Amino acid sequence: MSDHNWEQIEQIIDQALDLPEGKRKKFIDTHCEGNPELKGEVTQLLESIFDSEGWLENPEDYKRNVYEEISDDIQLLSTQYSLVGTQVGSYCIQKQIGKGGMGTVYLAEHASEEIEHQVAIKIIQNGKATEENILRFKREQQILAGLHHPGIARLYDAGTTEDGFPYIIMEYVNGTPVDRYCSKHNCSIDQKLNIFIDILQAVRYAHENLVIHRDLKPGNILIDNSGNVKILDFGISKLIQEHENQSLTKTGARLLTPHYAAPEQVRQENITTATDLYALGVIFYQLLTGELPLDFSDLSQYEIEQAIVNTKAPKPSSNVSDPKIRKLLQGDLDAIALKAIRKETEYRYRVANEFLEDLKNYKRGNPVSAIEDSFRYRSQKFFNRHKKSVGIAAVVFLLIMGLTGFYTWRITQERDQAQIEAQKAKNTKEILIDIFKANDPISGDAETATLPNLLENGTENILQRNLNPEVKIELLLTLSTIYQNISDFDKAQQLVDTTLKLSNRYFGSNSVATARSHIKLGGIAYDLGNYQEGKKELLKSKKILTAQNTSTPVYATLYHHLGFVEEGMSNYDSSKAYFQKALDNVTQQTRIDTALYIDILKSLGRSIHREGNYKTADSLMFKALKISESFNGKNDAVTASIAGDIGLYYMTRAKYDSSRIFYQQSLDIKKELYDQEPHPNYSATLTNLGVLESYVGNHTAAESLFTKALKIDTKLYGEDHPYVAFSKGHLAEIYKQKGQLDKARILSEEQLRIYKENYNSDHYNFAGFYRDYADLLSLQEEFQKADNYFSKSESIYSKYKASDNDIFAKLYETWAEHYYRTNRYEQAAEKFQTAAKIFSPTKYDEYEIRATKCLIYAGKAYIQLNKKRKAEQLFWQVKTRIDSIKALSKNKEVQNLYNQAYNEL
Amino acid sequence: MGTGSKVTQLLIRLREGEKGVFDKIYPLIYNQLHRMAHSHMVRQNPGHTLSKTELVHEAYLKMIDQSEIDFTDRSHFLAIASRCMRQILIDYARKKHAKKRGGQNTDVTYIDGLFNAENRKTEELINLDKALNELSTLNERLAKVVEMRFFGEMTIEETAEALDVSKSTVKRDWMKARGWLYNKLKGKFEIT
Repeated sequence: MSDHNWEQIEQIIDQALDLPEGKRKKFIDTHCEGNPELKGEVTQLLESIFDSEGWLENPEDYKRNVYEEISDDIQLLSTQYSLVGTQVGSYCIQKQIGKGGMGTVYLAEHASEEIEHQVAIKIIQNGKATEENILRFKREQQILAGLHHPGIARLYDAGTTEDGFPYIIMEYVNGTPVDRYCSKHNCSIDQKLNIFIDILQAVRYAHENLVIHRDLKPGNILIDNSGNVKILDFGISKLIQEHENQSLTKTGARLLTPHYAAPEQVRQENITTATDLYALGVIFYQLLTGELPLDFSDLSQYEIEQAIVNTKAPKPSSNVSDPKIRKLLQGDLDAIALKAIRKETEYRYRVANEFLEDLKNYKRGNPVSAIEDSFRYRSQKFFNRHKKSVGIAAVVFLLIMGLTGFYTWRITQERDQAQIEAQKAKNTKEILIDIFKANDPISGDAETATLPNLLENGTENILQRNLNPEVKIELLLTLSTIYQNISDFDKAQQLVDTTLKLSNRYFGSNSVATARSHIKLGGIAYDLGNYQEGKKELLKSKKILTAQNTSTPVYATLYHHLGFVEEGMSNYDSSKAYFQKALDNVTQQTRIDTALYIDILKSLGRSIHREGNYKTADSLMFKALKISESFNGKNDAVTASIAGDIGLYYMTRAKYDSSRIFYQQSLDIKKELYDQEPHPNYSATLTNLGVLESYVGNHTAAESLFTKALKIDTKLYGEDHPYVAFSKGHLAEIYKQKGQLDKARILSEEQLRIYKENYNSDHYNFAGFYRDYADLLSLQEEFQKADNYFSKSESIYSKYKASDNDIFAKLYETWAEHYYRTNRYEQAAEKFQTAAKIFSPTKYDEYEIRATKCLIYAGKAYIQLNKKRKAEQLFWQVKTRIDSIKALSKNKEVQNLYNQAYNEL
Repeated sequence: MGTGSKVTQLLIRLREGEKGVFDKIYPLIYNQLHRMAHSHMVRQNPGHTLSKTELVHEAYLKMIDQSEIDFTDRSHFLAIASRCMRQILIDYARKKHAKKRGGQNTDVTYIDGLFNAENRKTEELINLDKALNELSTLNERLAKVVEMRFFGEMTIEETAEALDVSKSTVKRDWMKARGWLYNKLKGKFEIT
């Protein structure tokens, strides 16, 4: 609108508004005749008046929003309402000395005139003072008040002002930020190192007391007039942070200073002491060079975050122009500074002491760990880049790295424990990597090495080394897990026997270390299918831990394992209860072992899925998937395995299309990850997808998947490994379905041979094999032999499983078909019905379908026996099911089968 | 003499047409309102609900000895208070806005999200204020009607009384002003 003939416009509008709506147009037309511009403006304004009806009519609502926006930092915005002169606690505010995003800092004096005491009071204007927050605030404050170190500014008290703002009363420090101090005094490298050592000592003290700073920056590290270091605001950012959700995915409001923020802070991941050490690394770099490691000028916030996560800092020596300083920095100091600011926490200094030791070593002229580490760092990068050419050794490496949880630093409630845990975890990983590096795959005979060989050598190496018993136990337990993962249970067991001896000797039979060995034994027994024995071991461990009366995170592992054995024995309720307890325990830890957490979510998900509560189960599984995606990454082995599990669940629910999507996701990740190199996880998913395809009748696809899996497993484990036998079994099954019975027979017999070489004659795996083998024999019309094997299968299953386990349903289903085939209709009808009964309460759609098919076949058997009433009864049951169960009403196959059978009647 | 009765006296003198009274009364009302607005916003914490009475009216109740005042005086008071209210809100909004754009160049610790998307309303308010200034050059009364109706939450009757015009004029003015502002601001923010 040009508004230049506004008066005229207003006049016309006024009159038009007084007219009834129908006459306005004509009125405007006549009054604007010959002046299209005027007419346009009048019309536009009139339209706007009607379009804007209701707008601005509710000023209260509008203003409420405005107030809310402003109230966030009202104190900062209103200069007129400074708190100078008011009393906070027993102090009287004198003047404002600082201002930041979190709040304002005042200098205050004790209100009583006799006491001469100056303090700094920080008033947090951004904190929302809910009751819950205040409580948390109080609790945290007590911990902080317990920090007594000359290098850390004391926290005296905290509370909430009358207006509801949290405040903190701290030691008043009159000092200069460390960076300015150094440039002002023109400090030499040596002087800077000394200052930095003081800083690290203060930080070490706080970390040992389990306080993480979270917001270290030069502005928080002051040097007072006597040259002493004083760190301000220790733990304050945690103190004022919004209530932290226990479930760890949310780390609360992000609170960080971009230049000093570690990648994990940007990614909103777990914050550990390594996070503080990163910030110190940046400050160290800055002190040495006068430059920040990363240049953020002209970058948007998003770009800054990307840079923090991805951009590698140049060597400090390359960031200075003075050739003398450059020379000083080259080598050790470069390595130390870069190690301190590694993107990955596991390659960084994890405890202040390491950083400190390196600086001290440097000053003494001793070798520094960062140099060696930088070699390791580079060689591991090399591993990652050249997985393919490095071959089998990379598999070992991935197996070690795959056990993410064991080196996640857990700050446990037990303060002393924290240090040990960290040390232990670090050592384990590093030593393992050292050991496998010793079998150098790059220069060595990588092509001929096999996985068992490499592991064997590594194990020998560990056993022979003179190591501190705690570390040795940790290493052996970890190796045992690796052996477990590749199904070499004898080896796994042997190693645990050794750890048990060690822990008994050094820590006593009632130590946590001994308890852990028992848990491991329980786990191996579980893997072997010896659930009772496993339970016994686990209960031993439980007894030890209970007597210790600690709340160690080992409980989570224990309950998780107990859940497994109960599950193995089909005690699903108690199994689920254990998984739930494990989950409760793990989420209560201050630092959560992500790997374990994810595993437990998966287990509980499985339990709940079994109960048929798909919605809850799915939500747990997707939670696990989400956590894994954000912690481990989208293209990660654990992420892939969760996707694989979800695929499996969908498969059991007969949602084949969804199932295939998740299997495919899992496979794609693994393909990328393992680069088609042999890996157990890859072949496992190939196998599952194969099973899916064979379920839906895609025999060709299934055959190709099974063949691939077989090839990988053979390469990985050698010809005679049970996994190879599994794949052969699956392939045999496909050939059987395709009617190529001779081919199936050959594979089955190879499978039998391998089983016999590896298992005792009553091993659980024989049960399933005998069932399938019997089925094949039946098809090949060797009926008597088939009878025999069906019975064998049943008797083995009976040793391991309760008679109502769905495994029996599958057996009886096949068995009944055999009876039907051999015209023994009475037995066939009986077995079909038993199978149906066992299948149905389990609630999987897949089972529902199979149960119904069994009933139809039982009916057909009765028709053959001329027992039409019985057949009719069964068909009536089937009809009711088809009408009432969704999975069936949508299933054409079942319906056709029913119709055809019903017609026979 | 307390502020309250002082304002009452001033209002009466304003009615009688004494010169310079406005300049005396304005800061008194402004300060009172500013104090009230401040404590109002400080209390914007979870668990506190806003009082139902609009600040301008609350200020009136606090500051004026009602037995001595008639309806016209009241409307005059509210009109001045509306003006104050506008100034106070815009003042806050500007500071907030400046802060958001990084007014400070020290190492400010930032809290994600707090200074981001959530500043929409204050930004809108600043735009509204600018547009109102422009509108007042076309027809000052229209801008005043908006000031009173929107910032002061005055009724049509109160507005008519304060401006000494008929109620239907206020209604028409309100419509024209609203239409004009809408046209001006649409696209700048979502109209609710």
